[in-house]
Amino acid sequence: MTKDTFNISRRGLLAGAGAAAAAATLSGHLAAPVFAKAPLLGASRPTHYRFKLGDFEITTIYDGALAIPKVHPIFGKNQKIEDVKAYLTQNNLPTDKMTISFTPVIVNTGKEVVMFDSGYGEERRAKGAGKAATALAAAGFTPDQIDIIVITHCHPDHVSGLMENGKAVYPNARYVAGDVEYNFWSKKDLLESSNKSMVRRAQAVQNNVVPLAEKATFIKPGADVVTGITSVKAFGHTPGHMCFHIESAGKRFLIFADVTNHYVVSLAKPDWHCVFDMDAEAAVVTRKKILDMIAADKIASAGYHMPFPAVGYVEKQGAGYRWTPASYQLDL
Amino acid sequence: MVSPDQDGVQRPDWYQFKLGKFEITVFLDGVSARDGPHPTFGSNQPPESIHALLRENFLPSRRFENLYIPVLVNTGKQLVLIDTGNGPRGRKTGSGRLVALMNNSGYACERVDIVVITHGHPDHIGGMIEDGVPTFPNARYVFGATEFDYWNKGENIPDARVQTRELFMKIAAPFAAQAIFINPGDDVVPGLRAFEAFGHSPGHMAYHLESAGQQLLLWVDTCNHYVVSLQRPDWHVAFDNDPEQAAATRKRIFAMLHAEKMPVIGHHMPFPGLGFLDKRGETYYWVPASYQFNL
Repeated sequence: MTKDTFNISRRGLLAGAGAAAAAATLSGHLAAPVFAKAPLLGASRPTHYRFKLGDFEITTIYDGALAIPKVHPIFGKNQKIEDVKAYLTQNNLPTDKMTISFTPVIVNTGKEVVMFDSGYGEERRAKGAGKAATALAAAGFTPDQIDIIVITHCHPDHVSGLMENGKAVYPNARYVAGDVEYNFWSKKDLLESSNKSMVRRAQAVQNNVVPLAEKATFIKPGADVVTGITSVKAFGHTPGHMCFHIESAGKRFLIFADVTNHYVVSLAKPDWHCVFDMDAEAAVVTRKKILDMIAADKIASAGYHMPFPAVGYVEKQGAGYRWTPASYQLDL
Repeated sequence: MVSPDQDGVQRPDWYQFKLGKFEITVFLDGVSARDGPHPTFGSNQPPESIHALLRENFLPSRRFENLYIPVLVNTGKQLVLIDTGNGPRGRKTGSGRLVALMNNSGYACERVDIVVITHGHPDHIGGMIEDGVPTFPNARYVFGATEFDYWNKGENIPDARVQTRELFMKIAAPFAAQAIFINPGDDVVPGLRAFEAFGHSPGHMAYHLESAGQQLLLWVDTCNHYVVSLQRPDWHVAFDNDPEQAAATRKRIFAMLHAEKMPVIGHHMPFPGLGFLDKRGETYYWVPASYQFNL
């Protein structure tokens, strides 16, 4: 074979000068090269992931992502910007931009289809989120198959996908929300707040949750949504934010929602404040309690803002934690 | 209430992103669940050592999954496919999906300009032929010279690779007249350069990509289990032709990637196979990419 090996230049083997030599070798059943100049198609990615947990099936649904032109002070508000940037660089992440993605979860118990949160809806569709309904279809679900929608908390990226053009997106669903959470957000006087983002969030609740209240059940921590799905107190991110524990045939899973919102920073540095947390200190305490539990029990989990497909494990790392995405554990 | 039928595991099987001016698409040609990882991985180690490492890393000790990720690089001028997956011979076990996925992605097989074969193993060459004719009818072929010579001459083929050699002679060797044979450091096209990674097979090559200042390494089969061979590069792997040379290659490439903070795609890493290396103490860890390439 050595005698047939081309003596080639280092650069441009099949382009430029090398191309003629290469073309001369092509013969027989192979057509002449066309150099198709295939058009670039643009970034694209999968939108759902499904696996078994005991007798349940869990599907994560990609609602989309928003590009944000900064990291600090959204994350690490109580830290120096240089420290946050250095930590991001150490972790192969850009320091001046990030994406925040949104991942609702569907649990099919075999008896009911239970969806956790609904994505951003129309509110941010032009900016790249609010695409849960499209991903749901790709995953094989129709909106009328959703029996129960659980609202982990009332922020717009979780509830604005419930209604579209003033109509419920999931026509057969009943709703489950935390009573503390709903009682806080449904107060009309929030609309009079001097804080603009509070008004925007409260308006999203008035538009997308309040009209569905008559089909809703309001629960406390420790309550079962259906057999195998139990609410877990995780107040701090919002006044009544809750996680949901899933258990089937001895297998456990935690939907931790917004306990931790950046897959590197908010795990490794749980004390760093996040501007999305309404009570930053209560959120820190909750973060440590929930992450300790996931790490100690070595259970799989889903986080609403973890990188898609947003399923993974939590390990202790010094005084903080590390997100370890699931690989093949749930596919075997 | 609508009857909620369950329909089993479904997973992402393609991912596309930009690297400088290049567009890179990875495809999940297939997966196979098998017993192990021991003794395939850590063949020179007691099973308890591997089981403990796996437990630490949230992995089961008796079953594991292998997966296959061919890579398509669109330079804007040429469409270059690196490896061809398992092809028709993999279909009875659920792999050999590359062609179907490419057709869905908008990249028809006819548009591929260049097929690069990194090494002669079945999960890399199996997709070169479909129904007796070339799967990529308009492509030129690129082989590593050392690798092609090894399989073509057929000397020192271990018993476990006799069938691999037969397959190579049947479906890869016939492309010799239409192929080009390259050595480490040679460019396939500007921005795609062969990188010596011998050991897994005698002439196994990685490929270095560079576009508009952004770099990425396709390490191919340099490292084939994202926990065991990353964290314990010295442990022998039954798939490696020369386990000691393969271990040395792993350590050399890990050190380079970590020092350069360079992203890497591995043919057998968890899908989409794209990540970075972290180093804690003296140990390397696989860190999957998240949003770095979506910004």
